[in-house]
Amino acid sequence: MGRNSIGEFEHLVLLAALRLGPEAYGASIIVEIEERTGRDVSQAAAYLTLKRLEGKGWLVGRQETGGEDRGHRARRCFVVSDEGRRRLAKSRAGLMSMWAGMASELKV
Amino acid sequence: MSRACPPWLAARLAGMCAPPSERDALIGDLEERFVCRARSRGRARAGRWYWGQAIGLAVALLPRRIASAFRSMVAPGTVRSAVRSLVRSPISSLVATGTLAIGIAAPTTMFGLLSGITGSLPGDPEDRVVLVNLFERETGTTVAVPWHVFEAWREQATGPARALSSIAAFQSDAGVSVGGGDAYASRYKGLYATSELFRILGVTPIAGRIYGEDELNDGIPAMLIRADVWEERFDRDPGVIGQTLRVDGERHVIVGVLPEDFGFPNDYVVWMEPSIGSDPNWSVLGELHGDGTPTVAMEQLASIVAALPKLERSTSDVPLVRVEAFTKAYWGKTDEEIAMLVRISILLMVVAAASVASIMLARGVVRMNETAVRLALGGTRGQVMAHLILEVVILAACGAALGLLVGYGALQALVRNVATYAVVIPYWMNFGIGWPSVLLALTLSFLAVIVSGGIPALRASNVNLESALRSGANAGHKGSVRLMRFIVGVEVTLSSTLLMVTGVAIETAILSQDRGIEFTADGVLTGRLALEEFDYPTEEDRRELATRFLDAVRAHPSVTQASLSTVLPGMAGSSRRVGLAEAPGGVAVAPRAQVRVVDPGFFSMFGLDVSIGRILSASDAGESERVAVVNEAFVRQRLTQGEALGRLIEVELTAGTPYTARIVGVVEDPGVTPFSQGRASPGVYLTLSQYLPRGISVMSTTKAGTSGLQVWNQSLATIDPNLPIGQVLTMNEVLSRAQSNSRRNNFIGGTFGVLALLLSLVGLNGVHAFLMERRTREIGIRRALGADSARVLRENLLRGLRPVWIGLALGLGAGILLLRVMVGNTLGPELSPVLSYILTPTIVIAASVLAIWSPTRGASRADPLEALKGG
Repeated sequence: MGRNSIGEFEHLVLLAALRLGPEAYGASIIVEIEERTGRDVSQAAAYLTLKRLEGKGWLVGRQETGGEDRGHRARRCFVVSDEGRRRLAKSRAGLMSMWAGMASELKV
Repeated sequence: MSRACPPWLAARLAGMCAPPSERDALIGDLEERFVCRARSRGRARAGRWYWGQAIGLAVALLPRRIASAFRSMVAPGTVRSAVRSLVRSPISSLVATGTLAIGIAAPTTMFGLLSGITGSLPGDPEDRVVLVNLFERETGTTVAVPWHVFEAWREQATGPARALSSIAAFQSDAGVSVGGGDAYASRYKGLYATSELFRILGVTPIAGRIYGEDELNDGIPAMLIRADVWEERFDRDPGVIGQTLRVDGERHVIVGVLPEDFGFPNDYVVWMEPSIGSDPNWSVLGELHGDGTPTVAMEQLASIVAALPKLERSTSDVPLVRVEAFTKAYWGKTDEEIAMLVRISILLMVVAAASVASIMLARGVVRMNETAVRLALGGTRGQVMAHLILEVVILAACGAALGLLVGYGALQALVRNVATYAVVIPYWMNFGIGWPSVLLALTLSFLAVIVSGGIPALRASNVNLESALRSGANAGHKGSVRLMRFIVGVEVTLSSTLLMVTGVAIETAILSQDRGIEFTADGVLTGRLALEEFDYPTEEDRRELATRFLDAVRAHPSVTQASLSTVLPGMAGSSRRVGLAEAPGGVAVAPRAQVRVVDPGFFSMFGLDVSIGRILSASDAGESERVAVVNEAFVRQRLTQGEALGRLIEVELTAGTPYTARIVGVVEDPGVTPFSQGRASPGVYLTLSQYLPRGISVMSTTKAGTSGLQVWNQSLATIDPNLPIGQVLTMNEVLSRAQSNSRRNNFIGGTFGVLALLLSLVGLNGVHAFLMERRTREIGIRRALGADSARVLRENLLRGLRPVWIGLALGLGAGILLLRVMVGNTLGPELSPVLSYILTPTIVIAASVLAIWSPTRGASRADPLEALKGG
């Protein structure tokens, strides 16, 4: 998978960040993915993916003060950048094209 | 309800995984999720989940962090800088590398030796091949396995449901006469073995086949020969199969040729079908079945023996059975000196590691100023630590590589020396630098990095710039100085112990040798004749052969002297019980003496002067009274009352039958009967004319340009062409081989002792040089106030020797204790290594003074003004 293509899990992380808006940070992104997809997400996988997306410039991170439920520890919040949005849109278009007419095949 | 907290250890683990800037956010995310889970699923489950996450983080992130740290450490700039630092102080760098190399080379050599000695048979890595012995319950002595016991074991103890899959019997003969008649006669090491032996050992013939059980070819038993015998006697003729050779008087047909690298049990070259006679002296080799163990095999074999009739010559009702891996049983017979050398080499390793630690500690402390400046100029603590650790890593890598190289060379030299002068090395022993030695080298180097580099690196990276520059790096170094002095003290203790033990061993050996060989060995050729029963059934037959042979040799115009003896001079040979006939209890309770059976010419050939009475003569033969000559040690130790001449002695030449002889003379035999445990050994000489056993040695000297062996062969050709002469060596070669073991061990021990002392001195010099440098200012003040430089020198020398006194006292005490344990009180009054007790402390003190002389003298003579300026 090249640097410019979006991996499956990266896709989920970006979508979760988009959904959560300003409340998108590590823990909330993981919870969002787990609730919507039903899959368990490890902290390590999420941490590495968020770092990688930030490194590609598709996510923009900022440090904020955390609440009591995390012992007032800082939390790193993420916002999907314009480039991130563009990549998501392109990826969606490609997937939708592949999915066209396939619903009946999978009896979805 | 109080807020649940995650397991603190897991939290610490997770915290280690992320860089400091991201740590808080990561831990916060984990904690938030933990709290949620604790609420919904309970604390216990949440705790387990947290551990899973922490471990997952560690697995995923820690390698990346380590790799990142490593990349920064070995960045080209850091490596260049570390190398430059090492090159700037070449002496200490070389000394540290050399010290570590020595510390690694010694145990590498010994471990290589040990792994070779304890190696497995080819194709038997799990040591399934076992040796089966019978031994007496009371005395623990081994009892020979009779043939009927072996047959019972073969029938009942092997098979699918038994511990052994197969079993073989063998009977070794250090010398079989092969050839004669049409072919020339030779003496070879030969083995009588059942055919299963070769299957157990997994050897395949390179020509022909292995003989079958009880195989007879037209009534002729079968044999196998080794490839070198095939080449020597048959020029690798493919038609060798089916040809016959005479072995110990009986014709055998060759059915197969075995590879040259096979020599079970120890460089044997011919193997024959077993000759089941009256001699029950069999050894048994077995192969464990599947998951069979020696213990289970022992029980099964023992139960079979218990059901058999009582064995002959066994004093207990049922002898015990011992089953152990063949290589282990073989190794058990090898010198315990090897184990001692391994212990000594480990001691040397400890001394070397201590030296390296003291050198590196001193380096680290000296460079605290430099480190403080680096930090002040913007260097991070990590960069400083990386630089210091990288220096030590480079030194350790160079030391390890050099140590392995030197260790390998020393190992090969040692093995070559052993093979040349001592024993034939069994075919399955391979000596090389295996993974245990490499692992040892890497472990030692790693420890050197940790101890000698890590600690100074940690301390140096915490140094405070202001205090370091102000106090000239003296602040906070008292702990380091005490540590260095302690290390030096330990080094001196260990090296003094080593020097004491090896010094005594060397001095004892030298004294023994000096008091030993005084007879003329130059120009004497020796050989061995085996007068086997099949050709010489009676003593008269043997005597006739010996007489005719000796006469023929002496008659040769090129021969100047010739003699026969059962034991060569200078060799410890036949130890027999010898007592006075009138003594109560008989010969069975008499002490032992060295017994030689010689022809009368032996005394003049080796310059044995008679001090009382006469030597043996040609008239002492036939039916005349049996006579004996004894040496002066025998008179001193056994005949304390009354005259020696005319006394009757009894010699236990064969069990239960004393040989009575009258003493007719006393001789001085300097070294002919060798020393034992530092004492002259009592010796007895009997005459071949009255007693002639089956094995005798021939000795002769010839004029220049004449081959003694050729003369012997020519003489034998007309008397008995079937009789080969074996073990042909010069007398000097024989003596060298006899002394090589102790010489070699003394050389190795002495080398270790000297190396240990050198390493200690290296550490001492390094530490003292550092201390003198630190005290330059103080010395300058004292000199400026009028202190005499000689007094300053004396005081600092004594101060520098403080750890040496303590170490020396402890080391000498430990050395004396160790010697008592090792040697006991067995050294005789003629031999007392007093010199070692005096020389060892003298050498240690003198060498230590030399080690600290230069830095002390330099500091005490320094210009007070310069010293005060420089600080």
